Amino acid sequence: MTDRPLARSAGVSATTAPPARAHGDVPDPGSFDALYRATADDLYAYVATLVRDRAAAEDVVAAAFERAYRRQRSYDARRGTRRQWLFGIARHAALDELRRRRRVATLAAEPGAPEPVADDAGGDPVRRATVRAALAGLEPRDRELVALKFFAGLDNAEIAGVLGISPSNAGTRLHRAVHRLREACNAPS
Amino acid sequence: MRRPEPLDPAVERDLETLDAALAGDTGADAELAALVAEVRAVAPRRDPGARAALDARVAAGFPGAHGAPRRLRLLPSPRLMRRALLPAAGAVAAALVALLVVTGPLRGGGGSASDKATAVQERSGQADDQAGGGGSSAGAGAATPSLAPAPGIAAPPSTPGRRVERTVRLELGARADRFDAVTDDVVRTTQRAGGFVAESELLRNGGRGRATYVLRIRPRASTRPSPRSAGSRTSARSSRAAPTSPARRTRPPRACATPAPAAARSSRPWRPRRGRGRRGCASASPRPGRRSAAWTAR
Repeated sequence: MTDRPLARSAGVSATTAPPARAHGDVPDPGSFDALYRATADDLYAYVATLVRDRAAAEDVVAAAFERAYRRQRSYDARRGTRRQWLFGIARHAALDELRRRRRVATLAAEPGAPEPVADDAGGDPVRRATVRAALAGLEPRDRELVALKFFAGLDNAEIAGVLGISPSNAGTRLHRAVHRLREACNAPS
Repeated sequence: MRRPEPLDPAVERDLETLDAALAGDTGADAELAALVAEVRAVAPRRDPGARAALDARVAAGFPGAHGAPRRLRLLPSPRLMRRALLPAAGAVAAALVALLVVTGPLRGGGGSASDKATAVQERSGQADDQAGGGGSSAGAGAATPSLAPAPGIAAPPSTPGRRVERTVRLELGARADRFDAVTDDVVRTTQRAGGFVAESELLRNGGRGRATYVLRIRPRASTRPSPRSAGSRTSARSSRAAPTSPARRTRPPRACATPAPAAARSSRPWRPRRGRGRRGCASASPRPGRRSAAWTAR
């Protein structure tokens, strides 16, 4: 399996479109710095969706990158892309964090911490709140799938690799999760 | 090998539509494209401070990550450490046995429980004044020393090349008819341990007496030096109460050239005389007609 371009951190699938969000110059696509710059924001979004705690997510992301940095030589391109490999590391780190805390996060955001607003978040705040609530209301597995697809921009094969399931299973579960998300977003409040 | 199940065509079609919306295709489903934009708009964003900190760490190449593996390499795996420490453990055991050659016999079963507790001492200073404490044991049976580690005696911390001197005091009690045998055993044991009797004194007072020995033992002189045994020297002073008898009054100091046995257990002195010793060891005070011995090791 060949490694795919890294600069698609905007959540856009590399199989269908070029990256929509630039991350600056990428001197060496194979370098760790390039991987970091291409995935850091997406990885944080994914991890924060998992752990539901911004501070913890920052720590988990840092730990994941550090682990990846240490294990660079262990990466095997035959087993998936570097992006998939990195998200797998981050997932394990996040699950470790959740196990450590021994609690299931139920908060949409850390109490008292203002939710950072996206640069292009100029839409209806009510609608954003609805979508945020719909995401929070999903089952954790569905929410993770949405994060991997919408935030991280992984394709189904990569999602399957991260979750350790078959691509068809990943597609089926993703389809179901998106369906539930749409229902939740369109549900009358 | 199980073949992957194909996706339902409807599901596959919906996923393709989703991919198009995620890619920003103009022909994508409008509702789905709106959902993609809205979901992305609520994506968690990194804190600028944390981002800058992580950027710096990545740019620096995770300084902690560089150090950690090196530290781990300095400490090999437990299995490797066990392999490496096996010879060292043997050396330490040899040193420990050498010390016990001195301390072990001193743990004879002549005294009472309370006497035993106080009789075995490790002293950093001289132990001559402890000789008077001998005879407190009221061993009804013969002294039956063993090589068991004396309680409370621990090898002192030492550094290679540093001379370590240990002082141990122990009182032994023996029956009157075993007095000579025990005193002989003291000397033989010292010789077996590669030591010698530096001083000896036998005092007789009526039916009682006391033998005091100052023993000097260099632990495991014949074995390879170990950090714990190298340069260490142990001396012992033994005194024992004994009845007055025409027996030898003093035992002249003997220089010992006998090297310490190679095997640890082969140097065990005073093999227990089973069935003879330990009787009446709980007695707290000497009884008439019995001899008690105090052996102070320094």
